[in-house]
Amino acid sequence: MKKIKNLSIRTDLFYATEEGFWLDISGNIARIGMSPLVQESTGSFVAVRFEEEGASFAKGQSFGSVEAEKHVGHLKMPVSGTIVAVNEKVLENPRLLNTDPYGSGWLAEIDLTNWDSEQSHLLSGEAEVEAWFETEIEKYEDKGWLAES
Amino acid sequence: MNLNSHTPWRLVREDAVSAGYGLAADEFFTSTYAAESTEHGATLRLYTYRDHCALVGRFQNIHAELDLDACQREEVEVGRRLTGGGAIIMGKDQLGICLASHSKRFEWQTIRDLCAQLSVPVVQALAKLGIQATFRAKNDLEVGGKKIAGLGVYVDPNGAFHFHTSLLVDLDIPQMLKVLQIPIQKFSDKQKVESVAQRITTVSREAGRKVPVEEVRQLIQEQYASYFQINLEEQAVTAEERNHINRLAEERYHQEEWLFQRSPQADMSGMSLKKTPAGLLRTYIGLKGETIKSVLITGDFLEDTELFSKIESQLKWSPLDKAAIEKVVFAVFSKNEHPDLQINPEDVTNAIWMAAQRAHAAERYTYQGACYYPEESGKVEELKS
Repeated sequence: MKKIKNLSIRTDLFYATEEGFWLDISGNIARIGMSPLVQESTGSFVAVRFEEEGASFAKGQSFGSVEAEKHVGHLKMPVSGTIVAVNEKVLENPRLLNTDPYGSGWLAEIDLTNWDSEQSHLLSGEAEVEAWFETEIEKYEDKGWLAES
Repeated sequence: MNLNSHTPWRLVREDAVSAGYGLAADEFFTSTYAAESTEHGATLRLYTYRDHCALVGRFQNIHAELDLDACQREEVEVGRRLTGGGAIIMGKDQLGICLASHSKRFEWQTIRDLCAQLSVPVVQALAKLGIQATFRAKNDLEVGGKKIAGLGVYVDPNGAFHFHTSLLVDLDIPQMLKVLQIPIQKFSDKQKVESVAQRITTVSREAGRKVPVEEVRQLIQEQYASYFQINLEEQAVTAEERNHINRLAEERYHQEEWLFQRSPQADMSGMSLKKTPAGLLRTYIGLKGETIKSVLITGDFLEDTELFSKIESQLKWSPLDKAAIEKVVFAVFSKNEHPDLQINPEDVTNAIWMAAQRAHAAERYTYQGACYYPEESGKVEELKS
């Protein structure tokens, strides 16, 4: 875990910057969760719903939805695959997405179906991840998009 | 803004629509922007529901938010929105403002930012009526600490979105109290009305006259056109569009599985009573799992409730966390004058926390109904000075 400005960032993971997730790859399974930058700028999550477990989705398709500050938006697949597990704890306590985004606030596990061609679209590598977050966090801070601590 | 001002917006005006049609139309117009290539830059729909429709937020438990027997008795239609937030009542005196477009047509990064930006014309329209409204946290517009409009956003998987505002031009508070489950069920009718009137206001009340919805609608459309520097082209809903909307209403909004969907988070409520040097402080809280749905702080000795309204609104939809509650309460006390108030922020924090603890300890909400702010569970706790 690396402290980049005020956020703690894991630089050893993959990031889908457009969809706003981190991906922890183990074999053919990706455990995914909300990027700290997304959860910090979205506000407190009050509801999470998943589409049916066991369903397959292409990259970019909705696999669930969330509510924060009266905004309802979709969770979009960062990579193609089958949802093999969802975190029941975040259904009961969506706040875990904010308080422990890399730990107990993980969202789902995906059995990857197109990893070889999709991994190149993801952000990875310690230096690249660090540089990307530094730039983005600075931009978010300048614009006042991050909640004051 | 990232708008091409040469692309006109579409204006749709409708009145007295049903709950299912009104909600389906918001979704329908949003879906027309999914492909990013429509004739209009956005659709601004200014409309009213028929008297009355009670609409719950996307993930709310309808049984916990509405008295469904009363809705049936009062012929109030019920519906579930795509946007989040709490239950509202809509009718001929509440203006629905739905702006549908594609998110790439606006320059924004966070939803808070988008909401603030898109609500500017509403604030400007109210200013034309001499009403100074401001955007407040958790996406409401307020006037002097009282809520005058609720805002919400829904973004679909393709990036099309709608921004919705429910603007209270006027409000029949007793009618609202009949159907919404609010945390003051044991109050007298007069106390309930007063309690709501201390926290909610309307365009007519602020303007000091009965303001027609049509006058507000006209101002809103003018302000959107001038703020975004676009032309609004009024275009009624076509027969084909109406068929789409009615089909969507039938397939989603009238379906029991949509209306009565269950939430995995328990709805709970609790109350605390605290003796303070100023008098008895009654605090009611509504929880959804570990999230605060509502807080209501009352006391016969409270003349100026703005301080407490601010605490209540800032805690709404925030995590149930004592340190976070304390932070909000202390911040509001430090930023607001309260010279004669013999209550300190510690008292208020403790009262809220105690109500929350009671909510957790009480029997959870069941479909048979129960335990809405049970007075008997709130033993008076003496405050040590």
